[in-house]
Amino acid sequence: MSEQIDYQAFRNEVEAFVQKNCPQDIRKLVAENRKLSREPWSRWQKILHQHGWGAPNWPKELGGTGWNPKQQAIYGEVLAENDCPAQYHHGLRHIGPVLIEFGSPEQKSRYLPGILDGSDWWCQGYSEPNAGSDLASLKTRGEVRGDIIIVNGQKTWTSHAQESDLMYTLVRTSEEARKQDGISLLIIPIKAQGITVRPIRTIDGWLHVNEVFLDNVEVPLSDCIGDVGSGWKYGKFLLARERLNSANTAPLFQYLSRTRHLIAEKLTQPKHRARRTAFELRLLNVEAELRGIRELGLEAIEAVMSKTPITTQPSVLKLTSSRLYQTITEIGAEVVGPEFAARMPLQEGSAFDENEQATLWIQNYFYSRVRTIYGGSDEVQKNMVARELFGH
Amino acid sequence: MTFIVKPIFESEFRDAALVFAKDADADAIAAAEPSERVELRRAKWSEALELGWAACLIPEAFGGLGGGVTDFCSLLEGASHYALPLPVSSGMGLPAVLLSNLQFAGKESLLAGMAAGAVRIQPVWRSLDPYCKQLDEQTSLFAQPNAGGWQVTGRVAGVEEVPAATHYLIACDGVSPKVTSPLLLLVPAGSDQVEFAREMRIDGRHTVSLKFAGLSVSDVQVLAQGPALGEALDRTNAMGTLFVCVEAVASMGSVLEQTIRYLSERKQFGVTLSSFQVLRHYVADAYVRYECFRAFVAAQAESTRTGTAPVDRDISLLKLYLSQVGPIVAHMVIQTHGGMGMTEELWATRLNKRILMANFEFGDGQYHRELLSNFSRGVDF
Repeated sequence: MSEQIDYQAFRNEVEAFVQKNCPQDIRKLVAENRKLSREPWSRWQKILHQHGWGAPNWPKELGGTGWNPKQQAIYGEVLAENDCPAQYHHGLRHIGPVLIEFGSPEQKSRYLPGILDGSDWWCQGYSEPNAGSDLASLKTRGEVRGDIIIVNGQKTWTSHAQESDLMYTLVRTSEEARKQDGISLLIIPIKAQGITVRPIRTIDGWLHVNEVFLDNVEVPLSDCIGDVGSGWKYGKFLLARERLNSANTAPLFQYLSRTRHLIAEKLTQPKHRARRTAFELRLLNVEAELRGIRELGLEAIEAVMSKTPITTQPSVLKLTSSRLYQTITEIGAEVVGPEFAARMPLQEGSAFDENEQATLWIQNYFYSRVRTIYGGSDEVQKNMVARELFGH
Repeated sequence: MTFIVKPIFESEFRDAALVFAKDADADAIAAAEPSERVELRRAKWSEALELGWAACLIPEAFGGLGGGVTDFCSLLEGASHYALPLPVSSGMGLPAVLLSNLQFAGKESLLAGMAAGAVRIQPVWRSLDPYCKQLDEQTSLFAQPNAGGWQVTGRVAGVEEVPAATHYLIACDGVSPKVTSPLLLLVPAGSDQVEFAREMRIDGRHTVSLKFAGLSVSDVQVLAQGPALGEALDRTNAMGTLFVCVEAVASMGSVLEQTIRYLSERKQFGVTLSSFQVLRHYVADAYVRYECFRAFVAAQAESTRTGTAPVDRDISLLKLYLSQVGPIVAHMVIQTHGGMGMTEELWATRLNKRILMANFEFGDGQYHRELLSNFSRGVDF
């Protein structure tokens, strides 16, 4: 079937649509490397949904586009190339596919429509203070009492909890010999009785992650996805669906291009010549590596298309794209740093001259540090690569 | 089961070259004396010619096998798995690429002779270090017109030696009173007007340095001249850059295999070295870079196969990438092998040196950064 698809025509169609329909104010946010909040993101989701593109990775019968992995990759690339935001991931790409695969008919009809049209906003309650990379050590307890589960514990690093409606979360419902067993995947409204969300200010100066305290939160058993005690399996399924996220290198190429423009705008004096050249040459090193990772990403997508097993590619892609993103943001911060590191706005809205835009580069430098920590830290990824290479 | 490198370019050429290179490596280890090695090199070169390697890139119409770029890449991949120290690219591939793209009298018989191994071309052009010509005029090579032909003067140093070469294929500047333009000459090897010295590269391959003290060349020995030749030489240079990247990536895959096997077998403190996380991470780091470079090389070869010629900017990015990846892989190999990594006996060392040498061929990373910087000027990226 895939042989019959005209991918160039598909790319053109996506390009034409997003250029015409993605609102300028949203594209400006992306082009300025700002962090997106729920409002612009859900507005963009509604636009895509109305066009029938609300869920590029879902089957047609559930409101998705039914696109194959290559079409999805092209779609993601075109969005990035045009400074359109990638769709909000927690609903569409994380919990949505899990619900489609393992959810009850009631769960599907209750939750999938809100993900599709952007009216429900989700967050992920996985990490805990003592369970980060070692997630299976999670301690948040869920006690099954009849047809409800009473949840007690604490989640942390919960992105977007401050603006979410729903949280999917892993809790321990029984103690088993193997720590991966006895974990259940629950859906909990973030406004449920007993939940407290406390924002954590991160080193970038932004508020986007939170601690979530659960104190005798009552969750109907009907909001447990799949079987009680089988949550680890669903969590792994979710991660497997996300493995090739880093194959889309278009956002990095865009960031590279923006950084080059920054250099061209800021370093215009004859006295800047050596400095400008040094930055440009460093960016060439990055571009060379980006080309490598782009080709590897394309290979991996082709492998998925042809049902060839993928092995180390996801880790290689994540390790490399994270490092390159950090390098680009380092260069951006160095370009503006001498002037603007001392001119961070004291509070939101207190912009003066160009300080707000310039300091975004510094904030993004700090923000990008998380790339080598979340979604399986660099160390975890290297362990996975090494296991594949050494056979143990 | 530890890591086994997957073929980048699958073909019979690769499989045959792999076996050939493995045997050659075993023979080279057995040959203790330098004179024995010179003889062995000649013998292996003759064998490779008999196997038809020189015919790979020559069109069928001229007696060749009519192979494509990826076929030749697969040959290089197999040979480089064992760091075969023969000038397969420079002595077989690049002369075929250059001459196939030019029009000149006697082309058919020349290419047929090359395909059959009867004509063995020693390239005389400076691709190793494109700075050379800019930095030191003594190293430049030029020809001035004289009665009925040209007189070649100058020097080319450190080009890979083609064993038992029958001809010099000389690319130089033709300097006439009105204009300087590229000139391509084919002259029989062995003239006493050419001073000749044998040397060796860091990867053990043999090189020659040639000094031309007014070598007389007749007009019939001029194969091509002018801007079209300049373009053909640029294309050949770009192809050479791709080929050297193929050789480097094949050696990297092989050296990773070796290193992983070594760490899985060698014991210290009562356990195998592969049980130490720091060493596993070293290897993982190098492998991650190798994988990205491999994908880039494969994509470039594929686009060259389907297109007309390598794209300059892409090729420079590829070579720049090699300059980043090569030293990381090479250092990892030495470090993880400990004292053994410092010895010549180790097979991995020979592969390592090949990787480091490849870094210098066809312009190093800094050279290509400058080229890319020039490409970017005036371009709205």
